[in-house]
Amino acid sequence: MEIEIGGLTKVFKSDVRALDGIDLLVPGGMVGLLGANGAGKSTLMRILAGALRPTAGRVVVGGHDLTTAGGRRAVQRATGYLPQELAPHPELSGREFLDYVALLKGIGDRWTRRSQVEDLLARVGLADDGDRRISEYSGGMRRRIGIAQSLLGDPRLLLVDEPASGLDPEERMRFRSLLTDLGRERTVVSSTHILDDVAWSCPQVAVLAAGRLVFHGAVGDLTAVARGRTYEVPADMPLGAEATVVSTSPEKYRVVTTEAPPRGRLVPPTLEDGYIMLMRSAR
Amino acid sequence: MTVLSLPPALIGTLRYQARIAMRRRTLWYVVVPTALLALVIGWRSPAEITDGVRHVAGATLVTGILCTLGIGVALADRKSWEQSAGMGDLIATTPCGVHTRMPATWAASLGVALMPPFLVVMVCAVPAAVAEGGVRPLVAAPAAFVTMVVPGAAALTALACLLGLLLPVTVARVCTAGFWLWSTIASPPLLPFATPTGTLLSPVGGYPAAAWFGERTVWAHRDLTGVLSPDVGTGSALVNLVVLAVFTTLFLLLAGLVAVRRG
Repeated sequence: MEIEIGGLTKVFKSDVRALDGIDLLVPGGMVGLLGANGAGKSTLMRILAGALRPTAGRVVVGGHDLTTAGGRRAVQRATGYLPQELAPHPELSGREFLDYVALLKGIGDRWTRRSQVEDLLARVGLADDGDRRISEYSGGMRRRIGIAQSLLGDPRLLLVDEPASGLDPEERMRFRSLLTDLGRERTVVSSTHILDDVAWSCPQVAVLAAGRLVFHGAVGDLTAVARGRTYEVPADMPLGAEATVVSTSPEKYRVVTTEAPPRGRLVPPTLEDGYIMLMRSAR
Repeated sequence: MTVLSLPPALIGTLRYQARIAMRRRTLWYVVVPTALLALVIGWRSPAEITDGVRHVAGATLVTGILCTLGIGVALADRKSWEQSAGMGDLIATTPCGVHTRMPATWAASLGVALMPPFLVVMVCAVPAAVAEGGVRPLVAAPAAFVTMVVPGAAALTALACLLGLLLPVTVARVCTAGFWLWSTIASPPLLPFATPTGTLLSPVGGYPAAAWFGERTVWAHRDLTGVLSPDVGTGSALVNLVVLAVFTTLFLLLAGLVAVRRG
Protein backbone atom coordinates (compact mmCIF):
# COMPACT_ATOMS: atom_id res chain seq x y z
CA MET A 1 0.00 0.00 0.00
CA GLU A 2 1.68 3.17 -1.18
CA ILE A 3 1.83 6.24 1.05
CA GLU A 4 2.26 9.59 -0.65
CA ILE A 5 2.70 12.66 1.51
CA GLY A 6 3.06 16.15 0.06
CA GLY A 7 3.63 19.40 1.94
CA LEU A 8 2.19 17.93 5.13
CA THR A 9 1.97 20.49 7.90
CA LYS A 10 0.39 20.27 11.32
CA VAL A 11 0.18 23.28 13.59
CA PHE A 12 -1.47 22.76 16.96
CA LYS A 13 -3.58 25.40 18.68
CA SER A 14 -0.65 26.30 20.89
CA ASP A 15 1.14 27.40 17.68
CA VAL A 16 3.46 24.44 17.93
CA ARG A 17 4.45 23.45 14.38
CA ALA A 18 4.66 19.68 14.84
CA LEU A 19 5.09 18.93 11.13
CA ASP A 20 6.48 21.41 8.65
CA GLY A 21 6.06 20.62 4.97
CA ILE A 22 6.80 16.89 4.95
CA ASP A 23 7.20 15.26 1.52
CA LEU A 24 7.54 11.50 1.61
CA LEU A 25 6.80 8.59 -0.68
CA VAL A 26 6.67 5.09 0.80
CA PRO A 27 6.08 2.55 -1.97
CA GLY A 28 5.33 -0.26 0.50
CA GLY A 29 7.21 -2.69 2.74
CA MET A 30 8.56 -1.79 6.11
CA VAL A 31 9.78 1.67 6.98
CA GLY A 32 11.31 2.83 10.24
CA LEU A 33 10.44 6.32 11.42
CA LEU A 34 13.18 7.86 13.55
CA GLY A 35 13.59 11.16 15.34
CA ALA A 36 14.18 12.71 18.73
CA ASN A 37 11.33 13.26 21.20
CA GLY A 38 9.08 16.00 19.86
CA ALA A 39 10.34 15.57 16.28
CA GLY A 40 6.78 14.93 15.04
CA LYS A 41 6.82 11.14 14.67
CA SER A 42 3.64 10.49 16.68
CA THR A 43 1.86 13.38 14.99
CA LEU A 44 2.69 11.91 11.59
CA MET A 45 1.52 8.46 12.75
CA ARG A 46 -1.74 9.88 14.08
CA ILE A 47 -2.40 11.68 10.81
CA LEU A 48 -1.67 8.53 8.82
CA ALA A 49 -4.04 6.59 11.08
CA GLY A 50 -6.78 9.15 10.55
CA ALA A 51 -6.90 10.17 14.21
CA LEU A 52 -5.68 13.70 13.51
CA ARG A 53 -6.38 16.12 10.65
CA PRO A 54 -3.47 17.90 9.01
CA THR A 55 -3.37 21.69 8.90
CA ALA A 56 -2.16 21.64 5.30
CA GLY A 57 -0.83 19.26 2.73
CA ARG A 58 -1.89 16.04 1.11
CA VAL A 59 -1.77 12.45 2.34
CA VAL A 60 -2.78 9.69 -0.05
CA VAL A 61 -2.75 6.11 1.21
CA GLY A 62 -3.42 3.32 -1.25
CA GLY A 63 -5.02 5.83 -3.60
CA HIS A 64 -7.34 7.28 -0.93
CA ASP A 65 -6.99 10.92 0.09
CA LEU A 66 -6.86 11.07 3.89
CA THR A 67 -7.95 14.69 3.94
CA THR A 68 -11.44 13.70 2.74
CA ALA A 69 -13.99 11.92 4.93
CA GLY A 70 -14.52 9.14 2.40
CA GLY A 71 -10.80 8.64 1.93
CA ARG A 72 -10.23 8.55 5.65
CA ARG A 73 -12.88 5.87 6.14
CA ALA A 74 -11.42 3.76 3.32
CA VAL A 75 -7.94 3.99 4.82
CA GLN A 76 -9.20 3.26 8.34
CA ARG A 77 -10.78 0.03 7.10
CA ALA A 78 -7.38 -1.12 5.88
CA THR A 79 -5.26 0.17 8.76
CA GLY A 80 -4.09 -1.26 12.05
CA TYR A 81 -2.76 1.26 14.54
CA LEU A 82 -0.87 0.97 17.80
CA PRO A 83 -0.69 4.33 19.61
CA GLN A 84 2.44 5.30 21.50
CA GLU A 85 0.61 5.02 24.80
CA LEU A 86 -2.33 2.72 25.08
CA ALA A 87 -4.19 1.89 28.27
CA PRO A 88 -6.87 -0.59 27.17
CA HIS A 89 -10.06 -0.73 29.21
CA PRO A 90 -8.89 -2.35 32.49
CA GLU A 91 -12.39 -3.69 33.20
CA LEU A 92 -12.31 -5.99 30.18
CA SER A 93 -10.37 -9.20 29.73
CA GLY A 94 -7.80 -9.37 26.94
CA ARG A 95 -10.15 -11.54 24.89
CA GLU A 96 -13.09 -9.16 25.40
CA PHE A 97 -10.97 -6.14 24.49
CA LEU A 98 -9.89 -7.71 21.22
CA ASP A 99 -13.47 -8.71 20.43
CA TYR A 100 -14.58 -5.12 21.14
CA VAL A 101 -11.95 -3.61 18.84
CA ALA A 102 -12.81 -6.20 16.17
CA LEU A 103 -16.45 -5.09 16.31
CA LEU A 104 -15.41 -1.44 16.10
CA LYS A 105 -13.37 -2.35 13.03
CA GLY A 106 -16.53 -3.73 11.49
CA ILE A 107 -15.78 -7.45 11.76
CA GLY A 108 -19.37 -8.55 12.21
CA ASP A 109 -19.12 -12.29 11.70
CA ARG A 110 -18.79 -13.95 15.09
CA TRP A 111 -16.69 -16.90 13.88
CA THR A 112 -14.27 -14.74 11.93
CA ARG A 113 -13.86 -12.53 14.97
CA ARG A 114 -13.38 -15.42 17.34
CA SER A 115 -10.81 -17.10 15.13
CA GLN A 116 -8.84 -13.85 14.67
CA VAL A 117 -8.91 -13.08 18.39
CA GLU A 118 -7.68 -16.57 19.32
CA ASP A 119 -4.99 -16.48 16.63
CA LEU A 120 -3.72 -13.08 17.75
CA LEU A 121 -3.76 -13.98 21.44
CA ALA A 122 -1.54 -16.95 20.55
CA ARG A 123 0.74 -14.82 18.35
CA VAL A 124 1.42 -12.34 21.14
CA GLY A 125 1.78 -15.07 23.77
CA LEU A 126 -1.40 -14.29 25.70
CA ALA A 127 -3.48 -17.36 24.86
CA ASP A 128 -3.46 -18.54 28.48
CA ASP A 129 -4.18 -15.06 29.86
CA GLY A 130 -6.98 -14.07 27.50
CA ASP A 131 -9.67 -14.33 30.19
CA ARG A 132 -7.78 -12.30 32.79
CA ARG A 133 -8.82 -8.68 33.28
CA ILE A 134 -6.43 -6.20 31.66
CA SER A 135 -6.12 -4.51 35.06
CA GLU A 136 -4.19 -7.62 36.13
CA TYR A 137 -1.79 -7.48 33.16
CA SER A 138 1.81 -6.32 33.45
CA GLY A 139 2.99 -3.39 31.32
CA GLY A 140 4.48 -5.77 28.76
CA MET A 141 1.27 -7.79 28.54
CA ARG A 142 -0.73 -4.60 27.96
CA ARG A 143 1.64 -3.65 25.18
CA ARG A 144 1.20 -7.09 23.65
CA ILE A 145 -2.58 -6.85 23.75
CA GLY A 146 -2.17 -3.44 22.08
CA ILE A 147 -0.05 -5.04 19.37
CA ALA A 148 -2.65 -7.78 18.93
CA GLN A 149 -5.49 -5.28 18.43
CA SER A 150 -3.49 -3.49 15.75
CA LEU A 151 -3.39 -6.72 13.72
CA LEU A 152 -7.15 -7.37 13.85
CA GLY A 153 -8.74 -7.47 10.43
CA ASP A 154 -5.42 -8.34 8.78
CA PRO A 155 -4.68 -4.68 7.90
CA ARG A 156 -2.79 -3.84 4.71
CA LEU A 157 -1.24 -0.84 6.45
CA LEU A 158 0.17 -1.24 9.92
CA LEU A 159 1.19 1.82 11.95
CA VAL A 160 3.03 1.06 15.16
CA ASP A 161 4.21 3.88 17.40
CA GLU A 162 7.02 2.84 19.74
CA PRO A 163 5.88 -0.78 19.60
CA ALA A 164 8.69 -2.13 21.75
CA SER A 165 8.24 0.22 24.70
CA GLY A 166 7.50 -1.79 27.81
CA LEU A 167 8.48 -5.11 26.25
CA ASP A 168 11.22 -7.22 27.79
CA PRO A 169 14.15 -8.20 25.51
CA GLU A 170 12.67 -11.60 24.65
CA GLU A 171 9.27 -10.11 23.81
CA ARG A 172 10.99 -7.40 21.79
CA MET A 173 12.83 -9.96 19.67
CA ARG A 174 9.63 -11.90 19.11
CA PHE A 175 7.72 -8.79 18.10
CA ARG A 176 10.57 -7.68 15.83
CA SER A 177 10.33 -10.99 13.99
CA LEU A 178 6.55 -10.68 13.80
CA LEU A 179 6.80 -7.18 12.32
CA THR A 180 9.41 -8.30 9.82
CA ASP A 181 7.14 -11.14 8.69
CA LEU A 182 4.20 -8.75 8.39
CA GLY A 183 6.29 -6.24 6.44
CA ARG A 184 6.81 -8.77 3.64
CA GLU A 185 3.17 -8.64 2.62
CA ARG A 186 2.03 -5.17 3.64
CA THR A 187 3.15 -1.66 4.46
CA VAL A 188 4.42 -1.25 8.00
CA VAL A 189 5.45 2.10 9.45
CA SER A 190 7.24 1.65 12.75
CA SER A 191 8.11 4.70 14.80
CA THR A 192 10.81 3.90 17.31
CA HIS A 193 13.79 5.10 19.29
CA ILE A 194 15.46 1.71 19.11
CA LEU A 195 17.88 1.92 16.18
CA ASP A 196 18.77 -1.74 16.56
CA ASP A 197 15.16 -2.67 15.74
CA VAL A 198 15.24 -0.49 12.63
CA ALA A 199 18.58 -1.89 11.50
CA TRP A 200 17.24 -5.42 11.94
CA SER A 201 13.83 -5.14 10.36
CA CYS A 202 13.41 -2.02 8.19
CA PRO A 203 14.88 -1.78 4.71
CA GLN A 204 13.84 1.90 4.54
CA VAL A 205 14.10 4.62 7.11
CA ALA A 206 12.76 8.16 7.41
CA VAL A 207 14.16 10.61 9.93
CA LEU A 208 12.31 13.61 11.31
CA ALA A 209 13.89 16.55 13.12
CA ALA A 210 11.84 19.46 14.46
CA GLY A 211 8.91 18.57 12.21
CA ARG A 212 10.95 18.30 9.03
CA LEU A 213 11.98 15.26 7.06
CA VAL A 214 15.76 15.23 7.09
CA PHE A 215 16.37 11.81 5.60
CA HIS A 216 14.53 9.14 3.67
CA GLY A 217 16.28 6.20 2.13
CA ALA A 218 17.80 2.81 2.74
CA VAL A 219 19.19 1.93 6.15
CA GLY A 220 22.58 1.47 4.52
CA ASP A 221 22.47 5.03 3.20
CA LEU A 222 21.76 6.43 6.66
CA THR A 223 24.64 4.39 8.02
CA ALA A 224 26.83 5.77 5.23
CA VAL A 225 26.29 9.35 6.47
CA ALA A 226 28.93 8.59 9.11
CA ARG A 227 31.32 6.76 6.77
CA GLY A 228 34.82 8.18 7.12
CA ARG A 229 33.68 10.15 10.18
CA THR A 230 33.47 7.44 12.84
CA TYR A 231 36.47 6.94 15.08
CA GLU A 232 37.54 5.03 18.15
CA VAL A 233 39.67 7.21 20.40
CA PRO A 234 41.61 6.12 23.50
CA ALA A 235 39.81 7.21 26.65
CA ASP A 236 42.80 9.24 27.90
CA MET A 237 42.82 11.47 24.81
CA PRO A 238 41.05 14.83 24.96
CA LEU A 239 38.24 15.18 22.46
CA GLY A 240 37.70 18.19 20.24
CA ALA A 241 34.56 20.25 20.75
CA GLU A 242 33.36 19.17 17.32
CA ALA A 243 33.29 15.44 18.19
CA THR A 244 30.08 13.76 19.36
CA VAL A 245 30.47 10.75 21.60
CA VAL A 246 28.31 7.84 20.48
CA SER A 247 29.42 5.33 23.10
CA THR A 248 32.05 4.88 25.76
CA SER A 249 33.94 2.05 27.38
CA PRO A 250 36.70 2.23 30.05
CA GLU A 251 39.37 2.10 27.32
CA LYS A 252 37.93 4.12 24.47
CA TYR A 253 35.33 6.48 23.07
CA ARG A 254 33.42 5.97 19.89
CA VAL A 255 32.88 9.34 18.25
CA VAL A 256 31.52 10.84 15.07
CA THR A 257 33.30 13.91 13.87
CA THR A 258 34.24 15.70 10.67
CA GLU A 259 37.77 16.30 11.97
CA ALA A 260 40.03 13.29 12.54
CA PRO A 261 40.89 13.23 16.28
CA PRO A 262 44.50 12.61 17.41
CA ARG A 263 45.21 8.86 17.74
CA GLY A 264 41.69 8.23 16.43
CA ARG A 265 41.18 4.98 14.54
CA LEU A 266 38.71 5.13 11.67
CA VAL A 267 36.09 2.38 12.06
CA PRO A 268 33.12 1.23 9.95
CA PRO A 269 29.99 3.15 10.99
CA THR A 270 26.82 1.65 12.39
CA LEU A 271 23.27 2.92 11.91
CA GLU A 272 23.55 4.71 15.25
CA ASP A 273 26.67 6.56 14.06
CA GLY A 274 24.91 7.58 10.88
CA TYR A 275 21.82 8.73 12.76
CA ILE A 276 23.81 10.84 15.22
CA MET A 277 25.87 12.38 12.42
CA LEU A 278 22.65 13.23 10.57
CA MET A 279 21.02 14.76 13.63
CA ARG A 280 24.13 16.87 14.23
CA SER A 281 23.99 18.29 10.75
CA ALA A 282 20.20 18.80 11.00
CA ARG A 283 20.55 21.07 14.05
CA MET B 1 -34.47 -4.28 12.66
CA THR B 2 -32.98 -7.27 14.45
CA VAL B 3 -29.89 -7.26 16.63
CA LEU B 4 -28.07 -9.16 13.91
CA SER B 5 -28.64 -6.41 11.36
CA LEU B 6 -27.24 -3.65 13.60
CA PRO B 7 -23.79 -2.38 12.65
CA PRO B 8 -21.04 -4.37 14.41
CA ALA B 9 -19.58 -1.19 15.91
CA LEU B 10 -22.91 -0.35 17.54
CA ILE B 11 -23.30 -3.87 18.94
CA GLY B 12 -19.71 -3.82 20.19
CA THR B 13 -20.05 -0.43 21.85
CA LEU B 14 -23.34 -1.31 23.54
CA ARG B 15 -22.13 -4.73 24.70
CA TYR B 16 -18.71 -3.79 25.98
CA GLN B 17 -19.47 -0.33 27.33
CA ALA B 18 -22.25 -1.95 29.36
CA ARG B 19 -19.75 -4.50 30.70
CA ILE B 20 -17.25 -1.77 31.47
CA ALA B 21 -19.91 0.20 33.33
CA MET B 22 -21.03 -2.89 35.22
CA ARG B 23 -17.47 -3.62 36.37
CA ARG B 24 -16.59 -0.07 37.40
CA ARG B 25 -16.69 0.12 41.16
CA THR B 26 -17.07 3.90 41.28
CA LEU B 27 -20.49 3.58 39.68
CA TRP B 28 -21.74 1.18 42.34
CA TYR B 29 -20.09 3.11 45.19
CA VAL B 30 -22.36 6.02 44.29
CA VAL B 31 -25.50 4.43 42.86
CA VAL B 32 -26.03 1.61 45.37
CA PRO B 33 -26.02 3.87 48.48
CA THR B 34 -28.37 6.37 46.83
CA ALA B 35 -30.63 3.50 45.76
CA LEU B 36 -30.65 2.12 49.29
CA LEU B 37 -31.42 5.56 50.69
CA ALA B 38 -34.28 5.87 48.18
CA LEU B 39 -35.56 2.49 49.29
CA VAL B 40 -35.49 3.51 52.94
CA ILE B 41 -37.34 6.75 52.18
CA GLY B 42 -39.77 5.25 49.68
CA TRP B 43 -40.63 2.07 51.54
CA ARG B 44 -44.06 1.80 53.18
CA SER B 45 -45.75 -1.19 54.73
CA PRO B 46 -49.00 -2.31 53.04
CA ALA B 47 -50.97 -0.91 55.97
CA GLU B 48 -49.65 2.62 55.30
CA ILE B 49 -50.61 2.59 51.61
CA THR B 50 -54.02 3.88 50.58
CA ASP B 51 -53.45 4.40 46.84
CA GLY B 52 -50.99 1.85 45.37
CA VAL B 53 -50.21 3.64 42.11
CA ARG B 54 -49.77 6.99 43.82
CA HIS B 55 -47.41 5.37 46.31
CA VAL B 56 -45.40 3.94 43.41
CA ALA B 57 -45.22 7.40 41.83
CA GLY B 58 -44.02 8.94 45.09
CA ALA B 59 -41.35 6.28 45.54
CA THR B 60 -40.29 6.69 41.91
CA LEU B 61 -39.99 10.45 42.39
CA VAL B 62 -37.70 10.06 45.42
CA THR B 63 -35.70 7.32 43.68
CA GLY B 64 -35.29 9.46 40.59
CA ILE B 65 -34.10 12.51 42.50
CA LEU B 66 -31.56 10.61 44.59
CA CYS B 67 -30.30 8.00 42.12
CA THR B 68 -30.09 10.28 39.10
CA LEU B 69 -27.83 12.56 41.10
CA GLY B 70 -25.54 9.60 41.84
CA ILE B 71 -25.65 8.32 38.27
CA GLY B 72 -24.90 11.72 36.77
CA VAL B 73 -21.96 12.29 39.09
CA ALA B 74 -20.59 8.79 38.52
CA LEU B 75 -20.88 8.89 34.74
CA ALA B 76 -19.33 12.34 34.31
CA ASP B 77 -16.03 10.62 33.58
CA ARG B 78 -17.17 8.16 30.92
CA LYS B 79 -16.19 10.01 27.78
CA SER B 80 -13.18 11.81 29.13
CA TRP B 81 -11.83 8.43 30.22
CA GLU B 82 -12.13 7.13 26.70
CA GLN B 83 -10.34 10.19 25.34
CA SER B 84 -7.26 9.52 27.42
CA ALA B 85 -4.38 7.05 27.31
CA GLY B 86 -4.49 6.32 23.61
CA MET B 87 -7.99 4.81 23.60
CA GLY B 88 -9.47 7.91 21.98
CA ASP B 89 -6.89 7.74 19.20
CA LEU B 90 -7.35 4.02 18.78
CA ILE B 91 -11.13 4.23 18.56
CA ALA B 92 -10.93 7.28 16.31
CA THR B 93 -8.93 5.25 13.81
CA THR B 94 -11.65 2.63 13.46
CA PRO B 95 -14.35 3.18 10.84
CA CYS B 96 -16.89 3.57 13.68
CA GLY B 97 -17.97 7.22 13.73
CA VAL B 98 -18.27 9.33 16.86
CA HIS B 99 -22.01 9.74 16.26
CA THR B 100 -22.41 5.98 16.70
CA ARG B 101 -19.97 5.59 19.55
CA MET B 102 -21.07 8.53 21.65
CA PRO B 103 -24.79 7.69 22.01
CA ALA B 104 -24.07 3.96 22.28
CA THR B 105 -21.53 4.48 25.06
CA TRP B 106 -23.89 6.80 26.85
CA ALA B 107 -26.90 4.49 26.46
CA ALA B 108 -24.98 1.39 27.58
CA SER B 109 -23.62 2.93 30.75
CA LEU B 110 -26.90 4.66 31.55
CA GLY B 111 -28.79 1.38 31.07
CA VAL B 112 -26.53 -0.38 33.55
CA ALA B 113 -26.61 2.48 36.05
CA LEU B 114 -30.42 2.56 36.02
CA MET B 115 -30.74 -1.05 37.18
CA PRO B 116 -30.52 -0.37 40.96
CA PRO B 117 -33.12 2.43 40.91
CA PHE B 118 -35.38 0.26 38.78
CA LEU B 119 -35.11 -2.51 41.38
CA VAL B 120 -35.92 -0.01 44.14
CA VAL B 121 -39.07 1.13 42.33
CA MET B 122 -40.16 -2.46 41.74
CA VAL B 123 -39.51 -3.39 45.37
CA CYS B 124 -41.52 -0.38 46.54
CA ALA B 125 -44.39 -1.54 44.31
CA VAL B 126 -44.66 -4.88 46.10
CA PRO B 127 -46.28 -3.63 49.36
CA ALA B 128 -48.54 -1.41 47.21
CA ALA B 129 -49.67 -4.49 45.29
CA VAL B 130 -50.27 -6.31 48.56
CA ALA B 131 -52.27 -3.36 49.91
CA GLU B 132 -54.40 -3.18 46.76
CA GLY B 133 -54.64 -6.92 46.36
CA GLY B 134 -53.86 -6.55 42.65
CA VAL B 135 -51.02 -6.13 40.17
CA ARG B 136 -51.82 -2.53 39.18
CA PRO B 137 -48.89 -1.03 41.16
CA LEU B 138 -46.53 -3.64 39.71
CA VAL B 139 -47.59 -2.63 36.20
CA ALA B 140 -47.45 1.06 37.05
CA ALA B 141 -43.93 0.80 38.50
CA PRO B 142 -42.04 0.19 35.20
CA ALA B 143 -44.25 2.76 33.45
CA ALA B 144 -43.52 5.33 36.17
CA PHE B 145 -39.83 4.49 35.99
CA VAL B 146 -39.69 4.94 32.22
CA THR B 147 -41.62 8.22 32.20
CA MET B 148 -40.37 9.79 35.44
CA VAL B 149 -36.79 8.60 35.99
CA VAL B 150 -35.36 7.68 32.57
CA PRO B 151 -35.94 11.03 30.77
CA GLY B 152 -34.34 13.10 33.55
CA ALA B 153 -31.49 10.63 33.99
CA ALA B 154 -30.92 10.62 30.24
CA ALA B 155 -30.74 14.42 30.11
CA LEU B 156 -28.46 14.69 33.15
CA THR B 157 -26.04 11.96 32.02
CA ALA B 158 -25.89 13.47 28.53
CA LEU B 159 -25.01 16.80 30.15
CA ALA B 160 -22.47 15.03 32.38
CA CYS B 161 -20.97 13.45 29.26
CA LEU B 162 -20.56 16.89 27.68
CA LEU B 163 -19.16 18.46 30.86
CA GLY B 164 -16.75 15.55 31.22
CA LEU B 165 -15.27 16.48 27.85
CA LEU B 166 -15.05 20.19 28.56
CA LEU B 167 -13.93 20.25 32.19
CA PRO B 168 -11.66 18.32 34.52
CA VAL B 169 -13.57 15.28 35.79
CA THR B 170 -13.92 16.53 39.37
CA VAL B 171 -15.26 19.90 38.23
CA ALA B 172 -17.60 18.12 35.81
CA ARG B 173 -18.95 16.00 38.67
CA VAL B 174 -19.50 19.06 40.87
CA CYS B 175 -21.21 20.95 38.04
CA THR B 176 -23.41 17.94 37.27
CA ALA B 177 -24.46 17.64 40.90
CA GLY B 178 -25.05 21.40 41.14
CA PHE B 179 -27.17 21.38 37.99
CA TRP B 180 -29.29 18.49 39.25
CA LEU B 181 -29.88 20.03 42.66
CA TRP B 182 -30.74 23.39 41.07
CA SER B 183 -33.16 21.79 38.65
CA THR B 184 -34.90 19.43 41.05
CA ILE B 185 -34.57 20.34 44.71
CA ALA B 186 -34.48 24.12 44.56
CA SER B 187 -37.96 25.51 45.09
CA PRO B 188 -38.78 28.69 43.16
CA PRO B 189 -40.50 30.57 46.04
CA LEU B 190 -37.52 30.04 48.33
CA LEU B 191 -34.78 31.12 45.95
CA PRO B 192 -33.87 34.52 44.52
CA PHE B 193 -33.24 33.04 41.07
CA ALA B 194 -35.21 31.04 38.53
CA THR B 195 -35.20 27.25 38.54
CA PRO B 196 -36.88 24.75 36.23
CA THR B 197 -38.82 23.28 39.16
CA GLY B 198 -42.51 23.05 38.40
CA THR B 199 -42.04 23.91 34.72
CA LEU B 200 -42.03 21.88 31.53
CA LEU B 201 -38.23 22.05 31.67
CA SER B 202 -38.09 20.14 34.94
CA PRO B 203 -36.23 16.81 34.71
CA VAL B 204 -37.71 15.47 37.95
CA GLY B 205 -40.74 13.77 36.40
CA GLY B 206 -43.35 15.93 38.14
CA TYR B 207 -45.66 16.34 35.14
CA PRO B 208 -45.84 12.59 34.30
CA ALA B 209 -46.20 11.81 38.02
CA ALA B 210 -49.16 14.15 38.41
CA ALA B 211 -50.75 13.46 35.02
CA TRP B 212 -50.52 9.68 34.85
CA PHE B 213 -49.94 8.36 38.37
CA GLY B 214 -52.03 10.67 40.54
CA GLU B 215 -49.13 12.14 42.49
CA ARG B 216 -50.14 15.49 44.02
CA THR B 217 -47.12 16.50 46.07
CA VAL B 218 -45.10 17.82 43.15
CA TRP B 219 -44.38 21.39 42.04
CA ALA B 220 -45.94 20.70 38.66
CA HIS B 221 -49.26 20.46 40.43
CA ARG B 222 -48.97 23.62 42.50
CA ASP B 223 -49.98 27.16 41.78
CA LEU B 224 -47.18 28.11 39.43
CA THR B 225 -48.18 30.26 36.50
CA GLY B 226 -46.65 31.13 33.19
CA VAL B 227 -46.20 29.59 29.78
CA LEU B 228 -43.69 27.10 31.11
CA SER B 229 -45.99 25.93 33.93
CA PRO B 230 -49.22 24.86 32.23
CA ASP B 231 -51.90 22.79 33.92
CA VAL B 232 -51.12 19.17 34.56
CA GLY B 233 -52.43 16.83 31.88
CA THR B 234 -51.37 14.28 29.32
CA GLY B 235 -50.41 17.00 26.85
CA SER B 236 -48.17 18.89 29.26
CA ALA B 237 -46.62 15.63 30.49
CA LEU B 238 -45.80 14.65 26.91
CA VAL B 239 -44.34 18.09 26.22
CA ASN B 240 -42.18 17.70 29.33
CA LEU B 241 -40.86 14.37 27.99
CA VAL B 242 -40.21 15.85 24.54
CA VAL B 243 -38.34 18.80 26.08
CA LEU B 244 -36.11 16.41 28.02
CA ALA B 245 -35.51 14.30 24.90
CA VAL B 246 -34.53 17.44 22.99
CA PHE B 247 -32.09 18.47 25.74
CA THR B 248 -30.63 14.97 25.82
CA THR B 249 -30.12 14.96 22.05
CA LEU B 250 -28.64 18.44 22.13
CA PHE B 251 -26.15 17.57 24.89
CA LEU B 252 -25.10 14.40 23.06
CA LEU B 253 -24.70 16.24 19.77
CA LEU B 254 -22.57 18.89 21.46
CA ALA B 255 -20.50 16.19 23.14
CA GLY B 256 -20.03 14.55 19.74
CA LEU B 257 -18.93 17.86 18.22
CA VAL B 258 -16.45 18.43 21.04
CA ALA B 259 -15.07 14.91 20.58
CA VAL B 260 -14.73 15.42 16.82
CA ARG B 261 -13.01 18.78 17.27
CA ARG B 262 -10.55 17.23 19.67
CA GLY B 263 -9.70 14.58 17.07
